[in-house]
Amino acid sequence: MRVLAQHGHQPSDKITRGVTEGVIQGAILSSRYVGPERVGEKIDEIRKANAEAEVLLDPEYYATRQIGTPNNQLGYLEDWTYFTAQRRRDLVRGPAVEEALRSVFDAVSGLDVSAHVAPNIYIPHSFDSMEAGIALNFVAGAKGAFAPAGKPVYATLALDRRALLSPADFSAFLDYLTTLETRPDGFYVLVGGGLIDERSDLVHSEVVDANVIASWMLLNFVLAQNGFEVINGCADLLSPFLTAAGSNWTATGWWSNLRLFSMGRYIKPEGRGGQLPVVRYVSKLLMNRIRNDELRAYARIMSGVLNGLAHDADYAGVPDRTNEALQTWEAISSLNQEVTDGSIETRLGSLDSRVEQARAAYAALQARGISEGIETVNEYLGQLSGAIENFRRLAEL
Amino acid sequence: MEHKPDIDELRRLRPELAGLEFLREGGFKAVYKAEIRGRPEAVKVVYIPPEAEENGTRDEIIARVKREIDALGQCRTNHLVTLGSMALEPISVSGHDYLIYSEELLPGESLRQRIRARPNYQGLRVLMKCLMEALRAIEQSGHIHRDIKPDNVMVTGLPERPFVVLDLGIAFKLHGTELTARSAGPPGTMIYMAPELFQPQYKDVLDIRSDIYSAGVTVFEYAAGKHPFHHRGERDYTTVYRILHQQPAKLAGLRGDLPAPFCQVVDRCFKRRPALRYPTPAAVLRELEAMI
Repeated sequence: MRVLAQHGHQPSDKITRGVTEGVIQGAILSSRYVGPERVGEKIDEIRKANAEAEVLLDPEYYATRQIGTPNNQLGYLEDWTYFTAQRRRDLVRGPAVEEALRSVFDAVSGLDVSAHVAPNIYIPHSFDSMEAGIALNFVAGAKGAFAPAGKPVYATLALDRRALLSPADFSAFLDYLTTLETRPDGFYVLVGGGLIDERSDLVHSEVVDANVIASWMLLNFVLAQNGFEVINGCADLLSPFLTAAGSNWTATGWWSNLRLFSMGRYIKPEGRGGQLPVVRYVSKLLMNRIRNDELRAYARIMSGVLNGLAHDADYAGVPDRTNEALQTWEAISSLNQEVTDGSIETRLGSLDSRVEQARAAYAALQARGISEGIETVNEYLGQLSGAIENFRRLAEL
Repeated sequence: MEHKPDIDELRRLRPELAGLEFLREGGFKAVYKAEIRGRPEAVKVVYIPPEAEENGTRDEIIARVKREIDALGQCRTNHLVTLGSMALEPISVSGHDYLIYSEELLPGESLRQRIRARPNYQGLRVLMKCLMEALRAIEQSGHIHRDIKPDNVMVTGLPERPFVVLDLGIAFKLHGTELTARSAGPPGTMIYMAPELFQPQYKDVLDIRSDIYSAGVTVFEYAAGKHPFHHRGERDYTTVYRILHQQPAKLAGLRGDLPAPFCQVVDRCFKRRPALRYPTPAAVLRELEAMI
């Protein structure tokens, strides 16, 4: 429920099939993977597949930080007129921020999107930084700059996980964010981890940290409590956690760098070539993404590792990438659905149960001699349950 | 009050204050009842200590009282006390300097005197609504009250304004004035102060949510018959530790007879993090409207 595709490299017909089937409700298009000349056509394709689909375009303005970086890979971003290098010292001044907002608006205002995603810079380390101050100016100016389009406006908040680890600065940032005089309708949130390429997975990522996830949940909770809509990009398996905390929409894609956000995605990885990642299956019971051979082995012992959803059938053989993406969206949508209704305590209780069930399932598999990667999984699940507990404390529940 | 003015001397100096009677006093202020041109009013007399001249705080004290009067003059609501007919002026009584002015005289008693009344849901809802109407007016005038507490809320018995907020004596004008000379001390009554006000740099974060916090504590105390953090007889600093570090009991746990959504509204008003509270009094009023 309320899942969007995070658009990226090699989309083929994944998004149109997703919105046709209803496993996603729309997409966040990437300006890096679709240029100004073809974006209208891309939006039309999605709308033809489902006229009700939510279609947004992330201008990825935060990636201007990588202009001039050796080995950058910016794709179509360089074709967008707004995508020009800015000096922080210029952006500190209000007029430069207004100009940046206006230039993005000029480039995207004619598009048939459902709502506009306003640009922002990336907050790399801390909320007590020049970048955080600039980011707040972008947020404060978003609604005003995009109001002439007459569509809802989402301000981007793109930040590094490390910024979430300083409670006092994060708290001060939230206090400011919730007293804006000109409020955007919502926020498009991206939390970046370390280096991620197409082969990385969530379990091994730096984002899987109880404090980071809890703070990310708190950000969603605070924004929702203050009446903002919240979209979390690259949320993937953390989607139910963010949904339980108040997120309205979560997005994920078909490559790892669409499931986890990182500024490293704009830099070509060195010396990494070779095989594509193997096809995986999102098991709701395990709260994890497992290989197809693991799925077969586990399912023989424990049928519950299968979700009992329509796209399970694709895994009778080896599914193609499109079916893998559809299965991911279907599973995450189903997980989100479990934590959408009821009080915050009820929703967190459902999450707690999910993590405990995953722990119990892995313990049962281990008892049957399946122990590959079990330590990593236990660490991952420990961080997830720690995140729920920490969130309860942070949100004063 | 230090050097409370002699009432007979005051009567002699201000004969237009008919039937002058002492009502109550605070640290630097005494309040009297009098008829001015046939209308009962509350006459306030603020002491200016002699050392104020030496330490340069005299102007500050006068400015603070002027600020209170200006703030009251700018707020448009039934739920705040209004100014009386006597404008601010200096007065010397028995060799001591004071400032004197008047406010409307409200009937009834303070909420403090009703704190163990165990009010019903409608009574509590009306109190919350009146407090938020008052805070909305204060916010719209660009001020923060900073001292919302049961002692500063009058229970009037008047149907159109059953609860009225008093005393903008330490009100703070956002984007304007400096704080008072007492800014080294606590900016309010400690056990009703929002956690952020205990930070040395609290002016950076001060906004109407600090008043929403104090209003939440006030309504909680009236509803539950006890303060959410303060225990009888303990030192304020012990309470402050609880305010900063401990989770209060949920109102629903103490008043199971009240509707859960109302209890949640009260609890949310005094969350430790300002961002977790309601952003404005208007947001609280919207919630209250939705739960008739």
